[in-house]
Amino acid sequence: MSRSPFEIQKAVVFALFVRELKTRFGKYRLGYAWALLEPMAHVIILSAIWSAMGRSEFSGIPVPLFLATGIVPYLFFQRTTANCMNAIESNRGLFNYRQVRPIDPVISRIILESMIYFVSYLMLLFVAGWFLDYDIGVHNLLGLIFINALLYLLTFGVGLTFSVYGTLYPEMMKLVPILIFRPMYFMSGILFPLIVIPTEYHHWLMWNPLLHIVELNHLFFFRGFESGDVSLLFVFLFALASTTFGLLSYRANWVRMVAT
Amino acid sequence: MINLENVTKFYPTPKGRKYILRDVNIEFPPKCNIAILGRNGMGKSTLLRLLGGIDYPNRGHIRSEGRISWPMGLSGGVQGSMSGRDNARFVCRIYGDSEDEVERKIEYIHEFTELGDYFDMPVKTYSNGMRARLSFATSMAFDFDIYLMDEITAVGDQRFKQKSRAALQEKKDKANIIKVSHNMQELIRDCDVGIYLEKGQMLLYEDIEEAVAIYQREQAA
Repeated sequence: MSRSPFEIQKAVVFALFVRELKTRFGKYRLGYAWALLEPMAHVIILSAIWSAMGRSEFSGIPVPLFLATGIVPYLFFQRTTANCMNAIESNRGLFNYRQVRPIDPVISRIILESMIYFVSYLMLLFVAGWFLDYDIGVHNLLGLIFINALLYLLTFGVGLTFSVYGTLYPEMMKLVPILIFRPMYFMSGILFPLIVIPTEYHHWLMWNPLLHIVELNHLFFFRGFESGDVSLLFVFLFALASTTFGLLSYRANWVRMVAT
Repeated sequence: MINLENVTKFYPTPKGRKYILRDVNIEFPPKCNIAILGRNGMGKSTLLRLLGGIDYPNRGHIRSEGRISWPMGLSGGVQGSMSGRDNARFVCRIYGDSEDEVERKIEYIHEFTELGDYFDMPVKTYSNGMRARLSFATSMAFDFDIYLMDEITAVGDQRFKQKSRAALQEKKDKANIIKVSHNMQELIRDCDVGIYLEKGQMLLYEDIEEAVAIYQREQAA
């Protein structure tokens, strides 16, 4: 009769997942479309800017395809981690049930966002290949899968960390989008590849794991893409460290997050 | 069975700690319907939350056996943006029901609440009485050993009160209630023993009438 903790958590995450799905996409029909339109809007506007400046390719890769393959993973990370910050607050009423623990809405949100990311990635490639006639053959599929698995892990770690401190210190965490996401949009290799930046500045930029992830996405996707000194190991360690930190922060604070 | 061992619970306030419970040791008498009495702000609702496992003591342990319901109250437990149906469905799902079972319970809850079309409207459009009906009906769809009730019977019309009393009476053969209320007649009718909560201590009275008398004397003083 009594269920194991894992069974309980599975049931809770599933119930929350269904609820997220409904509130996310149920209220306005544009919900599903938005997941695809947002990255597309970025690609279209940025391609227009680049073409106005007379640029049509980076290392032989057409600019729109270069932008799409970087912006989609970047937006996934940004949207998901930002969402995690209020995952707990917006489910507060449901902690009235002892089965629901604060980590559960975080997990269900990340699963949902990951699925949206995966589908919008495939659809964007489909549009690029079918309608725009780009060559969308992937150069190193295994590498691409691996780097995106690491992106999921990093997103979980950072998202969980944000959810803990976003709940405990909501005012402070309001600054995160401004202080972290704004500059990162320009420094993560999504607008232009790393090689256009002079090498002497690289060692500063290389601390940003998103830059590695975006560059490695390009590297595994396109044959002949030129990159800097990017490292899969760095991404792996960073993802592992952030997950460890997120889990520790959660472990130390979860009672404070639900207790009144 | 519920057992409190050295339980301390306080709220930090700018003027220092406000103690709800202070080193409380108590064993709740088994197979009894228990009334919790105390003045406003003495922490009756917090006590129910502690018993329901959704809030935690600062020190000490609360041990319990058997299935305990969530604290049925006017606030909490529902997500305003979701419909009554989706809220009820959510609860069934987290209790691990199969999809068939979920639908059967939803049917029961829908009928019990008498919400009609409102069942598919967002809960934030509900009145207090409707909310209480939803919360009460949802918990009646499950078989708990102990039902935690926080002033839930204070609202609702006469007819629904009677209906919910009948439903509860049916459960009472197998289940017990722990109840917070300011309606003394109701407590005397529904409960066997009383716990008086004051200044961080819990005093157990084996006779509910005695507990009510103490409470009323304090109120008058």
